[in-house]
Amino acid sequence: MLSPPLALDQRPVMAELADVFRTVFDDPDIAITEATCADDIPAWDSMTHIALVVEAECRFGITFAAVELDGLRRVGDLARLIEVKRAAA
Amino acid sequence: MLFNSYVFILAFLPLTLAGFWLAARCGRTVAGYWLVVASVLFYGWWRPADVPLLVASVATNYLLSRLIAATAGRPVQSWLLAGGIAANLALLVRFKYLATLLGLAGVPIAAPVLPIGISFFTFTQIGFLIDCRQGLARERGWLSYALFVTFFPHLIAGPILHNREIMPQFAASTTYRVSAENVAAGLAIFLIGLLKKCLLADPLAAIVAAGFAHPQQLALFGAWQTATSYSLQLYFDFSGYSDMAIGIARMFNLRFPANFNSPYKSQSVIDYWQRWHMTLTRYLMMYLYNPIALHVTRQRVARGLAVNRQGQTTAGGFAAMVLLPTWITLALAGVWHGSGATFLVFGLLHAAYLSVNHAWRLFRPRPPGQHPAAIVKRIAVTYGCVLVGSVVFRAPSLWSAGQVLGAMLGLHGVSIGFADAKEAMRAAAQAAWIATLYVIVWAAPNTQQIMRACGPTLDAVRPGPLPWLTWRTSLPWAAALGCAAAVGLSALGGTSEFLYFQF
Repeated sequence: MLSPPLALDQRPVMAELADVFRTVFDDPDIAITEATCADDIPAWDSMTHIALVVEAECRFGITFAAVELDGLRRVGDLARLIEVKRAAA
Repeated sequence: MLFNSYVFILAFLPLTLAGFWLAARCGRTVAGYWLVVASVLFYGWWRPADVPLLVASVATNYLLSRLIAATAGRPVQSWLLAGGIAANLALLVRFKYLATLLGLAGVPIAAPVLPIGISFFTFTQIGFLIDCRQGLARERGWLSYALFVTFFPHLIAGPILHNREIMPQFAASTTYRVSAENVAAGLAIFLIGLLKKCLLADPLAAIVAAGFAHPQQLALFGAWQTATSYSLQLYFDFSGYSDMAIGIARMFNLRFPANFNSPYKSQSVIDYWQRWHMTLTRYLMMYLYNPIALHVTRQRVARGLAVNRQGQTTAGGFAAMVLLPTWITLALAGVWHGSGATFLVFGLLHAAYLSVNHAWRLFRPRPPGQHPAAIVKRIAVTYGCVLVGSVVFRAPSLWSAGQVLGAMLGLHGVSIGFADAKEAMRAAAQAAWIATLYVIVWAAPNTQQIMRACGPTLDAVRPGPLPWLTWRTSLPWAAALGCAAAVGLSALGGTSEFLYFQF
């Protein structure tokens, strides 16, 4: 019997993404959930958004299109897109 | 056709809406074609000679989008995209910039009449071509595309739509049903926009025009009156237009993205650009800022340079990751509005503001204080920067902008003497009116907040001040909106254009 899929917050991609956030924001204490958005992290602006995406590209071995970035409002959006791109790779 | 005209409110809108519901009984395709035909009629009402240009632009871009989609993975696809973007930009240059550029080169020609809405429908279609290249544009039918570009509420002056948010709505069967709730909500949003335009924005036009006509004659009081009046006129005019567009779309069961979110309440210039003409900012971020910033940041990673906060605080990192994409994007955002030097300087001024703002955040990364006095100080500084920018934006020349700004600093004298008591009374009344408008700007909820019970736009709405001022379907609200409609209609008399029609 198949077990139900893990909630996004419990999937490995979130742990790896947390590490990306800690690297980019230079803050070892930063914590994220799938609901975390720019309003929750004051330093998360347009410039840091790009740095996050490029760091994620390096970490996960994927590439984002520039127009995909606008849809990434929450951490969960980024995590799901990473999963889709990894599955397609 | 103007949203704030009798022919639109009393004839075009009700007939188009009734025709849409009737056509929907014959199927979505019939209803879709009805809307396209009505939209082209709406567009041509202004100047019929522009209709062939609109139709040719839509047809050509549609064919290009199909070719781009059909050549996925082949080198020719990139050439098709580059050719499509170049053709669209060439059209813009022909009508908006050619006369100025040739004039600078010493070959003066008469400037052509600018086809209305050309900047908006051209940008919308360039975005679609890029999305086709990226495989992100899923709906590819002709009718769906024609509706996306020409749907009349956004055709002339936005909001600038993205295909992924509107084309699925045109494909949904629920769009083609009569919804009393959506008509009521849409009408309420439309009326709020109409009141902003007719009662708040238009009465300021005379003060603004007089001030900018003879800026060298302005003293301290007159200069501040001119600048603040224009800042308020621009806000109530364009946000009123956006409300009306959002309200009309809602009557057709469609939700548009928000275009304004109380921009003058912004606590930083970065915040301001996320609240003012939001769909233009989004467009520029998607198709200009992000590609430039991504390219630069990837290059830094390839060279082994840091891109995190530490990397951003180095001189090279700040120049590459902040200054370069910001200055290119804002310069082009300014020029998008027109070919005058004032628009370029407006863009560069805001690029400078944003650079300082980013530097402040990076080098003094202390969380902003939440004491009311600190918040008021941030809002005041931000608005002061925006006010200076709006003077440059409105002035017919850089000299004129300099005169108004100089007068605001007291360089033309501080005399507040009036010729007679009547003139003094009029000036006092105007000052009181401007003060009242600032109270509305800073203390009242915005349209989305008033209408939040109905989910007015595609964006989430945070509660605003005065929670009792929240729309619902009730007798008191119906009576209030009925009065608003009467006042709005009676104020139409000398219908005036929306400021953003010139772009």
